[in-house]
Amino acid sequence: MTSQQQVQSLLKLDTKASKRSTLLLEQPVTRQRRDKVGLSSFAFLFAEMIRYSQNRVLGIQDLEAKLNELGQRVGVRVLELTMSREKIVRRETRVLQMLVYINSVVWRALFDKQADSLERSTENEDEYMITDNEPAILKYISVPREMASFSPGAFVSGVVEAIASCCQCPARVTSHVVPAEGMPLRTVILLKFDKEVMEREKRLESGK
Amino acid sequence: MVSSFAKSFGSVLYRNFFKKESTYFTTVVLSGVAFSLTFNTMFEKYWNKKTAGLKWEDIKDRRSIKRQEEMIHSVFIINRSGGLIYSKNYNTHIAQLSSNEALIFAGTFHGIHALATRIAPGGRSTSARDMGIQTIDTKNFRLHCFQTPTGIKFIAVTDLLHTKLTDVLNRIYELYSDYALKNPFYNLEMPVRSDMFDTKLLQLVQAH
Amino acid sequence: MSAKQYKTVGEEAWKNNVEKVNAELFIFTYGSLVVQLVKDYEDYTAVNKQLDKMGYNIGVRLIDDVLARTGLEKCADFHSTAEVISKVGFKVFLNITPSVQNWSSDGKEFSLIIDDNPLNDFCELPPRAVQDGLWYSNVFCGVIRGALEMMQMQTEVYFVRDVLHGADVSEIRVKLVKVLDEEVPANDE
Repeated sequence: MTSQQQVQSLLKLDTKASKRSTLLLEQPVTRQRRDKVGLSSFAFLFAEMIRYSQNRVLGIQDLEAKLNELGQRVGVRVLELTMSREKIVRRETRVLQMLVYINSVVWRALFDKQADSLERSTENEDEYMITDNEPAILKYISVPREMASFSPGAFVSGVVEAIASCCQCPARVTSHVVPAEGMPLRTVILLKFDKEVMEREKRLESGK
Repeated sequence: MVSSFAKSFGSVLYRNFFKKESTYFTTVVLSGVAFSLTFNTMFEKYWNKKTAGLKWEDIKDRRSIKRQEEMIHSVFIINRSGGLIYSKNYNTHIAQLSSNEALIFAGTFHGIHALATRIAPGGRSTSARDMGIQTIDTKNFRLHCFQTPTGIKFIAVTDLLHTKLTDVLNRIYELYSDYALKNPFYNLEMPVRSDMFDTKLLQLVQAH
Repeated sequence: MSAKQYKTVGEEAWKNNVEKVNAELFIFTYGSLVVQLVKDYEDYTAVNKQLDKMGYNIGVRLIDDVLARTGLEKCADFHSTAEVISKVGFKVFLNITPSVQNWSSDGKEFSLIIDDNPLNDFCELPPRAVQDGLWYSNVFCGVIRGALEMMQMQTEVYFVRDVLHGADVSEIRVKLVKVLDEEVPANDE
């Protein structure tokens, strides 16, 4: 096809698709239009995603990286959506405020509850931990013993990583399963912030 | 000597108790009551001694201990092609099936169940739950079977006190669909190896 | 069972027996998956096929979940099957009720009309995707095909039109190919 014909065909499509675009743009975003779907639907979809990723990787680290990537796309959109709903004009750029935002607003938007705890690591001052005692989306996953170090929460860590980088606090985010009494699925999301972020924080703190 | 003693005793008795009608009557009644009381107590003591440990009062407590032993002995799950995908024994006091025997049991049961479906009189009902074998009674135990419309059979072996186990087997079906099917690491028709499934099933069995 | 009874079964199950999760999490996750597939395959027809395959793997498992929760039995005929899919299946998993229409004369084909597909909520296809015929929600076709195969029905399920391509409603066509007599053990594709 010559470029002229290509443009023509795309324009023709455009009118059909633009009907869709106008429809989409007219939809209100401020109130959540659709409340819930079944947890089973998400569980089946998530299980299939893990199976698909497993076929294309060669190890646990790669599998977690794939899930992380899938989560990042979700994270970007969730951040935009929650911020527009909360009518927040300014984006959180300080580490602590951003973490509190993730802990409360984002977790509530995704999982209908706040994250169970937010802690700063005592060993390294650039590490923070968000804990979820019973992540509902990971409820049905039992990791086989051969893959004991695999944490399906890598998907959630991808969400958090995307939000962190959108808030200008890039971090390396990983997820770990830390079972506790009566909470076998307790997941800890570990954020390790980049050096520049910690230096900037120090500067801003001392500059006050 | 005896006769004179007897005579004097007789005359004392006559003078004090038997002369007057009223005293005679009272004596007879009171002595009858006294005799019956003494006789009953003595006989009961003797009888209790003779039949210790055989009466209802003694064994009814033991019977309530025995009621705690009423339980589900084991659970099996058979897939569509007759292979055993799960077997668990909950009663350590009885003889265990070896894994080979369990596999043979599963295959045999699958065949018999299919036969029963075909030779059942009264035409084919559309309800999969009513087709085939539902319970097998023996002297010591009862075997309950529940077939899903997709061809999976859930089998529970219990004692004779359990008459109907449909809701428990239905609950096992739900647990299977939750913790086995939604697990990304489970392949269909393969043995179920999921810690969560084992734990939840154990809780369910202990509650019955 | 009549259509109305199936509707009640679906609604009861949704209200009492089903655990729920935030819809937007589900929608974004599915979108992320489709984008991943587009990146991996770079060909929209291949993406369609992969979505169908993944849907099939989901469908063969999902059928047991529906049956366990609702206690339903095998359907007497294909008409009841259509009602169960639309009023129980879609309701319990996505809280939508597509309508069943356009029955063929031999009663072996019908259409599911979805006018409110949750997966489309935040989605707009690039023109290239529309041109190459990407069926964004093709996973539904695979799910229906897989679930019905476990109930001994071999079917062909495909999208006919989609809101994301500019149509008014989304339409999925379900065609019964044959009824399987022997119980076929399921295998992931």
